[in-house]
Amino acid sequence: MIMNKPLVAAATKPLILAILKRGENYGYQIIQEVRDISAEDISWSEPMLYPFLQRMEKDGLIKSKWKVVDNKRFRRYYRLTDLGLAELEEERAQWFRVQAVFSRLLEE
Amino acid sequence: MFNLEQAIAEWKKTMRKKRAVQDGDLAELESYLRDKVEDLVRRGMSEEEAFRKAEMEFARAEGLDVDYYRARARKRGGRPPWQAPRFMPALLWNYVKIALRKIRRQKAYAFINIAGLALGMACALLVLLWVQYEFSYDRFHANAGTLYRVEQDMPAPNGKFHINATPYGMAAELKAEIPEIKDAARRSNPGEMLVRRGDRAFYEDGIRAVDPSFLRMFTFPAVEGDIETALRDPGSIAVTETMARKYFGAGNPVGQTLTINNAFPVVVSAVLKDVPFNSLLRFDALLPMAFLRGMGTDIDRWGSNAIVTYVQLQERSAAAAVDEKMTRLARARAMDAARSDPEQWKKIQSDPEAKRRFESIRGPDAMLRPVVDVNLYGYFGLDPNARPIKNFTPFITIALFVLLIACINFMNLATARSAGRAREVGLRKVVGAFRRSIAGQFYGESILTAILAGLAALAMVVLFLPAFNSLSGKHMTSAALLDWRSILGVLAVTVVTGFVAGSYPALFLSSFQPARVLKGRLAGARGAMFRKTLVVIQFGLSILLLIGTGVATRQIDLLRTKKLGYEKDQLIYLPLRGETPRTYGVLKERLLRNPKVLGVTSTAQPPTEFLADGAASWEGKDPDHFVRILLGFVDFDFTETMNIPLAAGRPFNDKYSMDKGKTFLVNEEVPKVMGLDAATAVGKRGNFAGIDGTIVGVMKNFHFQSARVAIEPLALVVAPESAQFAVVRLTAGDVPASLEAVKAGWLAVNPQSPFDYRFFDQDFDEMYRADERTGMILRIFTAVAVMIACLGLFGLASFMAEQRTKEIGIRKVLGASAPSVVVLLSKDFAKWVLVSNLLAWPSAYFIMRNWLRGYAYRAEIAWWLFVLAGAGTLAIALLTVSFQSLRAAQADPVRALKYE
Repeated sequence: MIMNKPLVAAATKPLILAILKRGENYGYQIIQEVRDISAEDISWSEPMLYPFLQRMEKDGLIKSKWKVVDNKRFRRYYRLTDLGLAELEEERAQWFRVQAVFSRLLEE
Repeated sequence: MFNLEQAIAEWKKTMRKKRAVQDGDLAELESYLRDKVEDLVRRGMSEEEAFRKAEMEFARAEGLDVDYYRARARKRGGRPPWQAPRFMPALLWNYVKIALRKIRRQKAYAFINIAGLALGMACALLVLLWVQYEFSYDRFHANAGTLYRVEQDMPAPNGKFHINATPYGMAAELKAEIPEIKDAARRSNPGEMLVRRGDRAFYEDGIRAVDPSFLRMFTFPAVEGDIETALRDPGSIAVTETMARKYFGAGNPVGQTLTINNAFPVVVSAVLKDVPFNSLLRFDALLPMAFLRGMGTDIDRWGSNAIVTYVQLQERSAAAAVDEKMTRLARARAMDAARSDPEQWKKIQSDPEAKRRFESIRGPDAMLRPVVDVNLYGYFGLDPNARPIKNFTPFITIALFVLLIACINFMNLATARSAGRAREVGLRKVVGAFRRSIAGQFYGESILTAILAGLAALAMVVLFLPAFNSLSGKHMTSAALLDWRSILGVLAVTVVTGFVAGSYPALFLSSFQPARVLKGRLAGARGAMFRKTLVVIQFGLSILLLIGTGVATRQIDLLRTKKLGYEKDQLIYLPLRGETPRTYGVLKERLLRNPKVLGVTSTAQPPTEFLADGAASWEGKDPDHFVRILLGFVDFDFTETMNIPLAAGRPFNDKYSMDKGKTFLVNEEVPKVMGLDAATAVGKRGNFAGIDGTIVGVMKNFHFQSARVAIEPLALVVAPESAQFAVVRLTAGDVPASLEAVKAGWLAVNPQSPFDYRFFDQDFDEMYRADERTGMILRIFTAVAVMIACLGLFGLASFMAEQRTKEIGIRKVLGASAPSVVVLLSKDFAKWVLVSNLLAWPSAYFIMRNWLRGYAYRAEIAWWLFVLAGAGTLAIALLTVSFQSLRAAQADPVRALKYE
């Protein structure tokens, strides 16, 4: 099941926040993790993630830092800020709320 | 051999072109790319495959640069600076300024452009107005949507004969029997009536007799009196304002008396507003139907189809159901009517011919036609395709041709001028204009010009409408232009014209490559072929119109000057109305005493239009074959008075008692259908339209109807007692004096009836007036078309001459003479005009041959018309071009070469 685009777009931010909550991470790895966990249901146009990360950083949700890893390979790592953590909680509450309403509706 | 580093370097190069992707972004993206490739290789792909796959992700990520821009922008959303805005108000004003400046700076071109387009649009608008006018007939009634006319299909030997008349008795019964019918009214044309108020007496042919419900169903508002009660009293009359003024002057005539046919007084009960011209129900006065009873008409009978019946339905959707019910009713009543007359019924039983005729009347089909459709779709007779509907297709076609020619002009001139604007386009592109915005600019310019032209066209229409009205016999008003549909139409014509005319320049100019244009290499040559094609089309259409006009004019002349088969000069006829037919014998005797009168005879129908017809039969005729024959009741001396020569036999002679109703004079068509010749037909017996008799003479064919239709078999019978028209031949010479003598004779016999007469000439002129009008409109439109085409050619020629200024200068320096330069410049145009001739000739031939099929007597499509049209257009084209080429040829070469 491939999820539709608007839903994926809406979920991008909370997903990134959730992944970064586990610890700092870089773009390619974020993409891979989402892909693995969702069993490829969620697929991004991969390079588009990068401007998105920038926007999040500009909004103060995450912070980035260049690192040299392995031998001389540059990678930009992102980690969650306090604001980002709060945002994640907020997002989570909202998604659960939607989910609760949704399942209540279907039960009846 | 694939080299990853090299491939990545290449990739980086293309990525750098993306705006808003900064170095940091690129580094991050590169690291992503490398991770991805590494990952894929680990999963078993080759390095090259892995790279291609990773690269694909970027191909999919369209708009990456916009996302980066937005990620960093202060505002969410927003337009990156490198994307063209959808709308730039500042530039828009600049476009308008440039368009207006162009018009100001190139007055001649602007004039040619706008005038040409305006003329074309004025033609289109006039036709649009006209079509709208024809569609507007009888739509002004408040109940227009539910009003219908009852029509019938009568079974005829060769198909169904469609009539619009119904029996008197129908209306009342329809209303009583069919619940879907809300109201019904009859309308009858009682013919000309003599209306008198004291000394004021006129023959009125605009009086109609209607049921009181007529004024309820249709909208004819009253100025004085009450329409509810106006026609209740059989002795009342409702007159229009015009008629009221004619008899009563300014005062209120309600309550005053008029006398009809010197016998029947009627009291004016109401004054109605004049009926609009776009109504087929036009009348000058209305009498109650019951009035006709006083004149001896049985207004309840079912026997014959004599009057028109209108119904108002409860709702539109019921029409089909009503058709069926009406047909059942009409058939039952037709049967009853025949049975109720014992003598008739006996004849039907015994005579097979009468029986067949009866059976044919037994089955009329009645149907409703919406009143609003009558003007355009109503017809009478056998063939719904041969109906005399308002055929505006030729005019629409011609108007579209003219408009097309004007559009072509516009496109031609604009593309020609485009070379001069190439630099402007180049510069605009250099400073960042996109193709779309340049195309938009040119579309805008051409629509602006079209709007200017549209305004000019509107002014022209308002100016020329009276002339067009008198030419076409219509009564259109320019007020109709204010109707929202007209406004929409004008706007649509304007914008579409502007758009079509502007498309080529817009697409062509916007395709210029700035680098080449600015280097000075103009793309002018590319449009040359296109322009020539347009010139060919333009002139082809003009030639088509010229030939068409020529053929049409010749056809109309043919009709007008066709030998009628008798001498129509000095021939007049006097309609015998009211009581006057009874005095015909006395009148004839009295008139013949005057030496200025050469002969007197009579007819029962207007002598220029015999219409009564019936079936012909004779011994040995195939009984299943229906032969139509026209029958004329005339007086002795008919052939002598009309000067119709005989081909065989003798004329009618009052010495033979048989000649009173028992003998025929026939025209040459009759022996033809009988399979005889003129000599052998004399002495044969026949039954023509119900009358038995012997043929005593065969007249040479003569036209007793419009020369548009073929001469049909005609039989004449002597019956002076049914005289309705007295035909009088005057001596040549002093016609007014002769007329005076006839008038004196008339008044001596009929002192109560005003003297009225018509010339045969007049009648025939009137018959062809419609054709003449068509011809006139055609000529004007053609002239306009040729004029526009020449305007365009003029513009094009001057542009060409201007472009070749240097070339001409050099040629002259090297010794070319002025004439040779003129030839050089004109040759090209001449060639293309010749090509248009070759294209236009066959189409003109086929179109006109088709058109002529509608006439019984056709003008030949003369070859010289084609040559004339060709030579004419060539001459006009050369004249137009030579004006410019002469100027160019005579110019001082030094000045030409010095420039720039």
